[in-house]
Amino acid sequence: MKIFTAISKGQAAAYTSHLDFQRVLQQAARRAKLPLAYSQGFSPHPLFAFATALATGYSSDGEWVEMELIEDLSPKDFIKRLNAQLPPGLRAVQAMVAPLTAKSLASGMEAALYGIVLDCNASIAEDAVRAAFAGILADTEILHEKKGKGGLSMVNIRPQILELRLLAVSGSTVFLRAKGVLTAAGGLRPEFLVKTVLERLQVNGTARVHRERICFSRDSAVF
Amino acid sequence: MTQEQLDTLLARVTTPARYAGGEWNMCGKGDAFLRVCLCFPDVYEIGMSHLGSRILYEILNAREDTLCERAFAPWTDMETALRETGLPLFSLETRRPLAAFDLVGFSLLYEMCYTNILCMLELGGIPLRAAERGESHPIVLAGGPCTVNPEPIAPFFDAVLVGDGEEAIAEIADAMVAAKRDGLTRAETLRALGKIEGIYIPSAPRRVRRRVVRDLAAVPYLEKPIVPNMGITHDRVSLEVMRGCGRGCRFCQAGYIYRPMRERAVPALLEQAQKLVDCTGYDEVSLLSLSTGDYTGIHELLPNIMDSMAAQKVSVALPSLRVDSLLAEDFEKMRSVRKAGLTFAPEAGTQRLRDVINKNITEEDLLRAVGDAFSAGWSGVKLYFMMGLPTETDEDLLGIADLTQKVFRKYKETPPHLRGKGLRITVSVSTFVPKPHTAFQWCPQISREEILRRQRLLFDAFRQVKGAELKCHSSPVSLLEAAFSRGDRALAEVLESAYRAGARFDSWTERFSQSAWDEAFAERGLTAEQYAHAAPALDDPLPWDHIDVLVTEEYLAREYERALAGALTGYCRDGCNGCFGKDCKAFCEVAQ
Repeated sequence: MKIFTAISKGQAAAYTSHLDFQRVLQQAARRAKLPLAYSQGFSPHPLFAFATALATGYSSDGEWVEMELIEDLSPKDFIKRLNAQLPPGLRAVQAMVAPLTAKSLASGMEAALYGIVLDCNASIAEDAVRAAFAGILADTEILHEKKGKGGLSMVNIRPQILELRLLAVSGSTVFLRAKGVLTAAGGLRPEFLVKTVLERLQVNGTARVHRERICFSRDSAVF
Repeated sequence: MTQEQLDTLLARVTTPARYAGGEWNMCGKGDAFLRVCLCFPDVYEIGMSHLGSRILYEILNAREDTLCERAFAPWTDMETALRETGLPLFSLETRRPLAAFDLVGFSLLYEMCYTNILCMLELGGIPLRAAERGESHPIVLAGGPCTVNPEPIAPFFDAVLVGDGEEAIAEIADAMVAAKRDGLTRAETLRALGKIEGIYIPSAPRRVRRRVVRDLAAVPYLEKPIVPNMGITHDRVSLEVMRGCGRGCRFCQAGYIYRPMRERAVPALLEQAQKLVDCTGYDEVSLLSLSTGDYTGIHELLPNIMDSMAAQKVSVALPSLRVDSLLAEDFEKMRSVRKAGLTFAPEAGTQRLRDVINKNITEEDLLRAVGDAFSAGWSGVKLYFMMGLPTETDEDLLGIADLTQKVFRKYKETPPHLRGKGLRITVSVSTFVPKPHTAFQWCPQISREEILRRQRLLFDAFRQVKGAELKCHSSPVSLLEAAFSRGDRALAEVLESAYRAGARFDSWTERFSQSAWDEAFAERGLTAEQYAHAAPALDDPLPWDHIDVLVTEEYLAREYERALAGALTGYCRDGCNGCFGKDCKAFCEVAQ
């Protein structure tokens, strides 16, 4: 059977890179003695498939993973056993048995919601943020340089920004929420959005990014 | 340190997981009467690969009165971030500055990490020199193999533990707890520590004998090791099957300073392996020792552990097999597992030179072992050699190329349906570094020009060799390593100057700063060469004479003379060679 599970990544686990997150989850699943299915070959590894990757340093309320099991297990037991073995910061928050007809999690992804806290080096007026956001949404093209396998390329992030809302401003700290495109082929990189906002506000600053939710299509098993 | 401060630091570094802590099985007790921080003067992924400090971590945390945490050398980006923010170097568990601990212990595994010690002390808020520390500062302790010559780092440490740590660390903790409870002064505390066998107090030098754990079964091994959240260098369950080696390779410091050979029992090892796999979730177990093929229970242990682990999708790795211990049948058993590269260490290219260094391996042994490995499906082979060994001639060097060529031919002779595809022979040639407490402690390292000449000779010879890649070690680092391994207390001044001039992570080629070291030596009117190229007479005093590692000076001198005569010394289990002198019977089962 296949289990779809969402693992939250708190601040204590935010610095675990995606590659390491995969390893940590495999080790936890092995400690939990889950009936894992393994790949064939000289170095068998558990059959896990991650819906998407999360950048190092970001936290998340739910990173979706598919796990292939060789015995049936109730989602409740699955969560209980896995949580007893996950290191600080990681928690299985949701699990379900994947319907036999279910497509991969990655293919059902549409978007993601991000909560972003900007710590700026100067105090910020709420009106300035509203104006900056309006400006961003009014634009049709916001270009950023992206490092990829084939070297540098330009990416227009404007079509990837679906929603941009100001939650609060407090001194030099800005709280915002953004909805960005996220599909198997890629999507909005929050760091580009952060860079754009800081540029428009004409300040420097650092950001804490939290993925609140991955949004799946209506016909997806985890919608 | 607050979460916000940590986030600010981690946002500025390339590998934040090195400093984030929060791993599975990490100690979470938070505080205790005695606070100890174990420091490793290299990055997290190397430090966490060190078995010894992980054993000590568990022993200390098992005590109710003691808290033990960890700190690692900050990579240069983190060092910059700490200096710019003014935040102190902190422990991974509670993020306390190093200065907030009662005892700060460093594991010294190689000389080229010494500048990182100074960096960690300074960033941790502790005065570099023991003499500058006051009543409120931690006691700074060193341990690990480099302590068999503690002089080059002596002024920076309050106390130095020479030898095995499992029993000594408990006595150290007892002494520290008593000292803190009774309100002893720093000087009184050091006097109390100095009474513990194996402890050397650099401010009050005296002869000290290496600490030896007589029975490995009587001391704790890993119970619940930390499972890192990031990939580390040795990322697997480490199972120490044996400590010490009785082969007596004359260049090998580990071979002398970990004697006598002490084995763990097969049933205990099988039980430990299972327990460690269960509580870590690792999918690989590595059998550790200096020479795993010499473990008497190897043919009982191997099939058992391989079968039980294979059923759980856990593979078994066997580093440190001696060529002559490899049997075709062992390879057959390993046939079903991953074909990780096999490593052989002939160390020298000709039989004459292998006899000089007492590496009792013949060309036939090596070629048979390599042939067996090829027949069992291996296609990747690593060969380790040393260059600049005492009495080495160009003929010996060319023998390395010749031997590699024969390995290549062996592959060609192996029937294609048996051997693996894509032959890869990696030949790694390091430069001989004379080490204290070895038969070659009186031997000079070859000069920098000579290293380069011999490397060129090798590279030229390897043009004719097919299917092999030759790698040689950097000569400036080898020179410095030789200086510090046989150095005296005067080098502490050079070390501090080099640190002030920016030297860090000196074993990392891309970080090595020649100018920092050149200036540091020049400032003190010294040269690395005068230490590295020194050829003391057998009866000259040596800077490490006061460290008694049990293997006697007389034995080493005898081995030195036998080396020059090309005479072999047998495996110690085939008959005691008397390396501990009058203490043989007291310390070693072989002699009884």
